[in-house]
Amino acid sequence: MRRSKSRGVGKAFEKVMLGGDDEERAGLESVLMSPVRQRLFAFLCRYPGSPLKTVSVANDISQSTAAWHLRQLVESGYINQRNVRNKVTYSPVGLVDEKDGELLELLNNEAAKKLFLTILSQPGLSQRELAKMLSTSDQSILRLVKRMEGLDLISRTTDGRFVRYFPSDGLKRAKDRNYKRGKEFRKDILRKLETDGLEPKVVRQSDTELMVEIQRSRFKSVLDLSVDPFRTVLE
Amino acid sequence: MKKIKSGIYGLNPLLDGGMNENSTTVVIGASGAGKTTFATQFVRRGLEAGQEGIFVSLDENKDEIIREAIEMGWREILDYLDNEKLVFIDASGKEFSSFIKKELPSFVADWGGSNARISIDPLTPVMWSVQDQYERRDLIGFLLKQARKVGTVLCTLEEHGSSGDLSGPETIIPMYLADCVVHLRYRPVDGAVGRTLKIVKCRSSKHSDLAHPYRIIKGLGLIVERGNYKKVETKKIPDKLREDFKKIVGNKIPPHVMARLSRALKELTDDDFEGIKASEIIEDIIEEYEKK
Repeated sequence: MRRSKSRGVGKAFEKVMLGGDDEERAGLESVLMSPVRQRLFAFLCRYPGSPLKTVSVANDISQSTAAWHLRQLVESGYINQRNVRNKVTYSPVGLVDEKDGELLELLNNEAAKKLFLTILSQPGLSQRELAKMLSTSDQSILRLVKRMEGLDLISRTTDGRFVRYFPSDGLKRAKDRNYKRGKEFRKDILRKLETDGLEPKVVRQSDTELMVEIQRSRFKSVLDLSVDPFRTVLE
Repeated sequence: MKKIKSGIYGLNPLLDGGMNENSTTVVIGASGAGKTTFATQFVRRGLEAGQEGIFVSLDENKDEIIREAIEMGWREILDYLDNEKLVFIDASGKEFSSFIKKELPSFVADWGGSNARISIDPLTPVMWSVQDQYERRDLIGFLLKQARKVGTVLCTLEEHGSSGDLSGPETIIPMYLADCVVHLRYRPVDGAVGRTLKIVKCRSSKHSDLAHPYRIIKGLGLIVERGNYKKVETKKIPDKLREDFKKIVGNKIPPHVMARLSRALKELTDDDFEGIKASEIIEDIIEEYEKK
């Protein structure tokens, strides 16, 4: 087949590079049949609220490729994008409360995650001690603990001239708030897969996981989704 | 062979008029030599002439290159991007190498003859995506052969190490396979910057053999100095040879060989005979064909 030679070679090339043509050839017009998008969707179930860069690095694909696939997922209603603190973040539709966007954005930040895990495992450390343990500056610790206090993830106690940090129950509350959502999310996603003609068959499901086989004509694959983000985000 | 303008001011005369259309050029240079600027100028020149442009970036991200292009004074790049005459693609070495293996043939079948300009900057990560030397040569050879069906191709190549003799395994393969090789030599010496451009080879062209100083000027990009290079277009020697052929050699060699030789001589200039005596050539030719 020969298309017009004069125009559009660049666009056509872009499309092939991003995998568009490949899927058309295989007849995989459904958005979630692409292996890359399955991977990205599963990743976002595990780490909702991730920004583009995190998605691209963690999945070892270029940012433009990731952006293209995420756009497909947004357009077909599997994920939504939100602006959190001037950063575009992505989450599966219905998995987390909109109010928790900032909490997830913070916990998806590597440095913040490390700091929070340290406070969880060794409550009562001071800012100086935390900075030393994580080999970072007092200022960056201060910046993060302030945000964490604001989100009620941690609380402070003044002990003489030291300020010590303890875990607080913000994360637990978020978990409780989202507990029901997990169940609803499992139902919703199965309904959506059904509507999109992917013939979902549940392989296994629990409070924390949904494993489902999907099929489109002769192509089959299995989605393994984690549906308890407030546990997995700290892994 | 049709010549197209390179987009680098001062380079065309050194390349015998410009780059050959539907050829592959490899530009080799160390970090800071101006490879990306070269690749950008090459694509820009095509856009200015109404060709389409594809810029595959395997290193810096798209936004950075676009920002730098604007800083270098090329604001129109945004318009070309908007109306899709120029397409920028970031890819990793592995992604691009899998494209070459899987999708390139059918892409060429669809889009061969598009007459676009394609810059691949730098080709190095694509080379590294394959460990085996034989496979590597195969992959690069296939890429260059196929891509030039879609247009005129320019690949940049990182020069590692400081020897500057281009003998490393990473430069050797593309150098053999490309139609034209340009070396940007960049040696910062005691704070002063020494930049010279040398054309290592250029198929079917009478190119300069000299090392030409070049500069990078904001708003104009790479500018190559012609220096002492002036193409001598005199044809005294070949003209004389042709006459002698008719007089002296005419009856000693077969007519079809005679026809071929005089056709060849029409294309040659005095430069081609530097250091050789015309009488010796005539003797050699007679020796070859004379019946004893």
